[in-house]
Amino acid sequence: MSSPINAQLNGSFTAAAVPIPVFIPLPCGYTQIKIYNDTGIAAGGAGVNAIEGKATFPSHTCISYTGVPMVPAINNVNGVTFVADSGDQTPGAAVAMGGAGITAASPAVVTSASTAGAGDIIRVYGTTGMLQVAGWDFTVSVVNAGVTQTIANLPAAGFAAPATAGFVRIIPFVPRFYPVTRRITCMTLGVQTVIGLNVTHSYTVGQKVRVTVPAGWGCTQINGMLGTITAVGTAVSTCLNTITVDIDSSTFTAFAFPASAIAALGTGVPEVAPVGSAAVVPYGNVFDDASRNVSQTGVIVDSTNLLIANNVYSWVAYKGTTI
Amino acid sequence: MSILTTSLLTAPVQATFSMKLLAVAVPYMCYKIPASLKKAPRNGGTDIRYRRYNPIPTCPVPLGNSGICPPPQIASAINIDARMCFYGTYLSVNEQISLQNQDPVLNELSIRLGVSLRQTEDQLMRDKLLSSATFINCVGGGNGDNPTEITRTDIDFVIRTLRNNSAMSFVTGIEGENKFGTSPVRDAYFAIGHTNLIGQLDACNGFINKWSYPNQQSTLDSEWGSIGNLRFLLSPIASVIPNASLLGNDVLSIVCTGREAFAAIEQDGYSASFLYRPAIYDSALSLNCQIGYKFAEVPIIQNDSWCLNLRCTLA
Repeated sequence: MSSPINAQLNGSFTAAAVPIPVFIPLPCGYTQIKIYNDTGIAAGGAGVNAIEGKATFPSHTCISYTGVPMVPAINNVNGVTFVADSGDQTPGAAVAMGGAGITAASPAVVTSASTAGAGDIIRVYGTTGMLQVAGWDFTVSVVNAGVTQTIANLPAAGFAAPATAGFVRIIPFVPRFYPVTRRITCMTLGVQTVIGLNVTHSYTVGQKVRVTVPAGWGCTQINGMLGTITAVGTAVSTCLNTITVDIDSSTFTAFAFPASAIAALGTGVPEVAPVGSAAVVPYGNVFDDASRNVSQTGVIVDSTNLLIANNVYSWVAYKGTTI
Repeated sequence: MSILTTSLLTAPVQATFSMKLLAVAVPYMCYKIPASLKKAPRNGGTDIRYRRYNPIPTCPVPLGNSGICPPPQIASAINIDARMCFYGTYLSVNEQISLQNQDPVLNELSIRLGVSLRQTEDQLMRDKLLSSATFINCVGGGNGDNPTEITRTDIDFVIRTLRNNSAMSFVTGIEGENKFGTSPVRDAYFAIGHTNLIGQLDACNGFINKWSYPNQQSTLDSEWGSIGNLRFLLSPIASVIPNASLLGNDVLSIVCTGREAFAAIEQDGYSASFLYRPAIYDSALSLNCQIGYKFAEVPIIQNDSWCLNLRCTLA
């Protein structure tokens, strides 16, 4: 029979040393998944031994089976989320910032009860003060759950004042197509220029980027220049989400955010746009820059209270025909 | 006198099915209109590479009479790569539907699949442009947001940037004619935006309605009008980025593009195809037929300086 009623997929993954959510790519149409803690079961099964999720459950919900004998429990804070399209950019619910807003410090710290995790992307907007970054997305680097989110990519010590209010929304996924244009948050000038970016860039050495710095941000001499990425991850203050490009900016004026009051009137945005790769050795046969669709369907398995460090997990995914 | 009414004698079949099916909303799909169409050759691997050479500097200084040859120039180039992706979807239709339903189900579903295919292609191109194009914020408006609403100042800035980058126009101008209420139209780049811009564009200085062009033959269905050297194509499925402005309002992205700025690359030998698999291939009892489509395509920006993403909010 050519249309299987219950096609079954199997796979495994190993939880990280500091467990983070795991994305299991599945062909679309899969509606159920069971995950077994192989390492934990072999060791006697004291912790969470199995996790069961269904597409009909709310997001971040699962049935977890703990201990021996296994006790099932509904877990609706950390669980399993079926994702139909990881290119979906619809923001999450608005969460008001707390009293501290966004600190004018390096790194900047956002106070809100947002449920973002480390590595998530948040959009900040509607701020009172610090309007330079209102409407910007940032990758969260550290989380104090339900209280603060640290943004290492935004060294904000040079800002005149903090944001005292505002809102945060979680952007669930990166855009559908790689590579992605990113905004500039900081810069170190020199024979080679180090550029810090707001959201994890995923660029690689050898890629070509065009740097745009509109009027009002300093360093306008670099505007429109093409550079080849020679390194990634060189620190600029607290920001490690950086690229180093072969643009000699030794004589350029320093990069600086405009004043909040200027931003309120409308400003351009400094950015780095990926344009291809350098046609030189050793990048001639490297295709890291290739434009490609990175969206997937699958399942996100939350880590907190579910995954145990370094444990091996096996999973089985099912789909059925609805009648 | 007793009157025989429908209460006493009902119609044997109390409903009529109208065979005239209702119209289905099909949005304008604009993003592939300015795209170059290219093919990745079959048996050519997963990626396709394009290359653009950088300009060679001019040499305005005379050689002189020394007889000494100057040093050679060094040429350089940028490689631009794309990786092919495959897409497809289908419907599995039980034989009893085509047997018993009054309307031509398979015919209508085929049409709907065709729209789904073209709209997927449009969405892919839109998402690519939104991911990777250089963007410019509108700053000329006065709505207190960032970006602001679109103004003629912002449009001129985009046109100036495209012209400074030597972007080629898409369409030639439309010559003036002696007709009431018409106006000549400049040669133009395309600008693709959301239909929520209706009214915003009309308020910009120099806006010319499509119906004020001297000649309607070169207009597109989705075209709303022109401002300066931009001709605007609007669609309800064009890009809107939720809550992305300073105040948290939706940001509308207007892709402003010259010729050969971006392309849709198809896999040679794998053009978009409609598939029908009769029920005989489904099971021993031939219960279900399948209809669907599949295609392979990757969108790519070929010249980033000829394609700009103008971001604005609404007034």
